[in-house]
Amino acid sequence: MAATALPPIGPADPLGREVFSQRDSARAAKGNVPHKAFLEKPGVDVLSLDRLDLAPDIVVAQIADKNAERRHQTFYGWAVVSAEHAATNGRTVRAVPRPDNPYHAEIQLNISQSSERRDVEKQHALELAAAASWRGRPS
Amino acid sequence: MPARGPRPAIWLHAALEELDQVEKEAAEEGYPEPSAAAKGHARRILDSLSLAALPAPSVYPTEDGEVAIMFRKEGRRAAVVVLCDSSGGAICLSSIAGENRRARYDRATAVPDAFLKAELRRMKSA
Repeated sequence: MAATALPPIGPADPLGREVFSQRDSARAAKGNVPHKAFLEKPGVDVLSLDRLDLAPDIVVAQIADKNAERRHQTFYGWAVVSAEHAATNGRTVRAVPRPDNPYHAEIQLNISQSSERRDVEKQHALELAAAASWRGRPS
Repeated sequence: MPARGPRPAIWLHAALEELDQVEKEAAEEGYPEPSAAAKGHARRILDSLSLAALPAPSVYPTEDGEVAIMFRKEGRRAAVVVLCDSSGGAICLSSIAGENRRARYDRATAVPDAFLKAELRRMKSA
């Protein structure tokens, strides 16, 4: 894949969380992005996303399709948050291009260790879901 | 004429259908199957909240073995979720315009309580 320098992430930039569940995609399309779209396994402090609008959606969708293939799943679309909303309440956002995905970005949750850590992860997930819109996979 | 009580919301039937699918969805996603207690509490909470004017919730299993009931006000950064866990407890989380609150319950029988009702009101007025 060609290595091109992408601009830094701006506050209004859309960041898409890949959704691999048909049921979750149906919920999101009805305006209810489920919080679990933004919930990782316990203790994982980083959420992977795609920087959208830097390339046609179909290009980024093809990258997501490959992620889905590795998971033996299907890619249905993105739960999309702005970088500004992604980076509130102690979270940080950064571009982390990968050889197989130059549009890759991460939200770092920056949660301190505590007995309530999992609850805090769920709280972040809900906040991100509350701010998210749905963008289906282009056909 | 017989006295009429409050009518359940029109979303209750669809929500209960989603609840009936949580074991199947959990299996599809590789999640632990939610317990009968979690499902039972979710059903009771849905029944109770269906008497209030709320947007239609989503009902789904989580990878922590919970049953989630999530309400969201579309077009606003406002959502409330109740997570009924498989050991009989629950957690209520709200996120409204970036302000987050939560309450944890050893026994889900306490839900819905004043906290959840207040957060749902805040969500509606967001």
